[in-house]
Amino acid sequence: MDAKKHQQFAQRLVRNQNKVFRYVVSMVVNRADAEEIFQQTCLTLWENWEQYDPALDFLPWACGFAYNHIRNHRRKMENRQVLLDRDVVEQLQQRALGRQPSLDDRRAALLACLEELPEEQRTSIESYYERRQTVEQIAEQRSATPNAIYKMLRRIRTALFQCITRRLAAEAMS
Amino acid sequence: MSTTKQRQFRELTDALVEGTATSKDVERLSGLLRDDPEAQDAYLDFIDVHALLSWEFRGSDSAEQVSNLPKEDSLAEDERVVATVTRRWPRSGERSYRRTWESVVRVGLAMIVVAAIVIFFKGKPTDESQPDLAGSFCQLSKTVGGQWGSDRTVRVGERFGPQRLKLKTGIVEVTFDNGVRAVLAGPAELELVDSMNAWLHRGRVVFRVPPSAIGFTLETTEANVVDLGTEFGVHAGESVGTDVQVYEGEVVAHAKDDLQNDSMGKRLHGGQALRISTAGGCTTEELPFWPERFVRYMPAPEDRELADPNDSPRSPHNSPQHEELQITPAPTDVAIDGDLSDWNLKGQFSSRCDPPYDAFYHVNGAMMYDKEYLYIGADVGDPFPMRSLISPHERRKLYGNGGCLAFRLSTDRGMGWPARGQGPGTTKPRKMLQEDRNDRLVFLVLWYYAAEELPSLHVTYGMDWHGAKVNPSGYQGAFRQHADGKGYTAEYAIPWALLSAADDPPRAGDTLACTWLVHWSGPEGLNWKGQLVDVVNPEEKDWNFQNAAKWGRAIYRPPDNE
Repeated sequence: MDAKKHQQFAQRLVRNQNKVFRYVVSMVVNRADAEEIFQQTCLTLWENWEQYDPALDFLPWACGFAYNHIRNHRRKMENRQVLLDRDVVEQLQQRALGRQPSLDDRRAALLACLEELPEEQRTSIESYYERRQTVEQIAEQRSATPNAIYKMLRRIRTALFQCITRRLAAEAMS
Repeated sequence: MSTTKQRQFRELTDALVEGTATSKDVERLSGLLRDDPEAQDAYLDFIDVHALLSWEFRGSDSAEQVSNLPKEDSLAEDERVVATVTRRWPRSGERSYRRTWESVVRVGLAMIVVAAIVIFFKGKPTDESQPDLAGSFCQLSKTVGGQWGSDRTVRVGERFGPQRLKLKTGIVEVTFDNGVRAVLAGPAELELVDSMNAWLHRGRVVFRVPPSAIGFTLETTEANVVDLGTEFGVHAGESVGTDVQVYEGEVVAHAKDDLQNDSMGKRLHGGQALRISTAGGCTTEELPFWPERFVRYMPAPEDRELADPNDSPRSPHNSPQHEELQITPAPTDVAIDGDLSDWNLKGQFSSRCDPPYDAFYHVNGAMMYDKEYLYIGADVGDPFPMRSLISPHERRKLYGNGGCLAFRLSTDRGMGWPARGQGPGTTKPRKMLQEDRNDRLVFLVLWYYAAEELPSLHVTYGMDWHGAKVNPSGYQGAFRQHADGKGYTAEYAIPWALLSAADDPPRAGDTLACTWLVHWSGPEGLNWKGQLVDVVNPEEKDWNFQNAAKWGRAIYRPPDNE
């Protein structure tokens, strides 16, 4: 075994995991499905690490495996879920690959923006994303309607989106 | 993009994220995104907020691992970097025990170890925690005859939070949201602590931990077992102590006494096993690796619990992943010796059974061709390899029950792909036609007759399986058991004459039809347990290989220099 190559592979996999995951979610937005595809992708990458050429960018190589799993998933789900049209997903994945240089900055911006969130909004985000509660569960706990929770989560995502955009623009100006 | 369009666009994207989008919504969103790079960027920016939140709040602490990795260039071999891992912000809903995380990043010659994490529990395990659905982090994903304590009924898909699972009999699989899978064999008691920790009170469990959940820790009365990206089994006995066995990768096993002494623990690699006992003082004893120590074998078909009642107990144990197979030109002088190191493996593909059987049941397959032969090579994961006692000297319809490789393939260059032909047993039966008796639709079964150490071959023709030949002259075959005893390599060269193609064998550029099947038996080598089918045409919904249109594409590649 080429230990140095194995080492490079493992480090690049760990460093790029969040980007591969985000690439998957951009085309398979359902969290459980995206998580499964991501896990399958990680396993496939480990199985194929010897094929990796350290002279090449890791992310496009890894996303190639992820996209194969995405395609398989779409085939399985075609009659069970509403999915973006196949040609649109193909265009999106091409576009997503071209956006890689900005991904680290976007993540750093999101982490900073999360710090600015009011406590109540942060708790809501945690309930939904970390504890994976459904909107209905959160609504019941807060004696609110599911519709109100949907609206609140939308407001938080929009606020984070605007905060990220603002921060990236400010950095570009400086 | 206009403000109105932006709002409409964001509403549709939100609905998609929430899972409330209708088919009409998605159609509209697709229309807005199609051929519009500006809209695509806006969509990707917005969806990235959802993606980032999903990532940052995953239960596996992957983000923390990344942020504490040293720079790539600064890692020398065998270097150790110790970093204290802390969360970026406090999160609600965590249990009250305190954790101290220490990650050890170590690079060795044989394995990359990303992080070793020592966890100290400052509380006793609960006796009988109640389910906490709000804080659930895993679910029951499979059950084979699982009977639960207190006659509790647990269905596949039921979510679990922190609680103690009491399994009386049977085998169940629990899948964590972070990808960790646990296969528990009753009787056993497993306490689920959180997505990175569990406590085995008694019984046997096998964990498979993906790279993203490295550091997963299993505790018993005697030991802590910290995973470093691997598959391992643990048996917590009533009196003998804790047995740990590693199938792949590496774990660190700490005797509890060692932990108090701040010891680094015992590293165990794939193929190693250890017993830890604290009765009468802490002792560790190396055990022989015994693949059958932990149960993960396919059940008999009659015991198989089907997720879909419409499935047959003989349905494949896998979801096919391949639609085509690249058949490469064979190098000259290939030795048929059960060693594929002299092969052109550019067309090799991998396929696995679904969990929990994937660790032991899988195949890496390849095919090559030249003017005289079709070559078949396969590395097969099989916990009971090369044990078939099905004699080729007996007259039978089928010879694969003791484990085999099987192939349906067409050598009919005029027919191309997809192949046409149908035999008995499909879901839409019809009267046999002339094309169903085509000699160029071939059924091959390759197996190792253990009693005579004989690589055997059964050939039939057409979808009606006429003209059967068993061990005909002209073919060469070899089997070789893997060194770890968990599989075998099969290698065959079959002359085109046996495949009805002596006068017009497939040539470079042809796309014909082929599908692969791997059959496994029990340890006795007589009784069929399950199968994997791959290289299939996804357009045909019926998996049955008696429909030739289901066979995948077999692409005969030209030499690399053409």
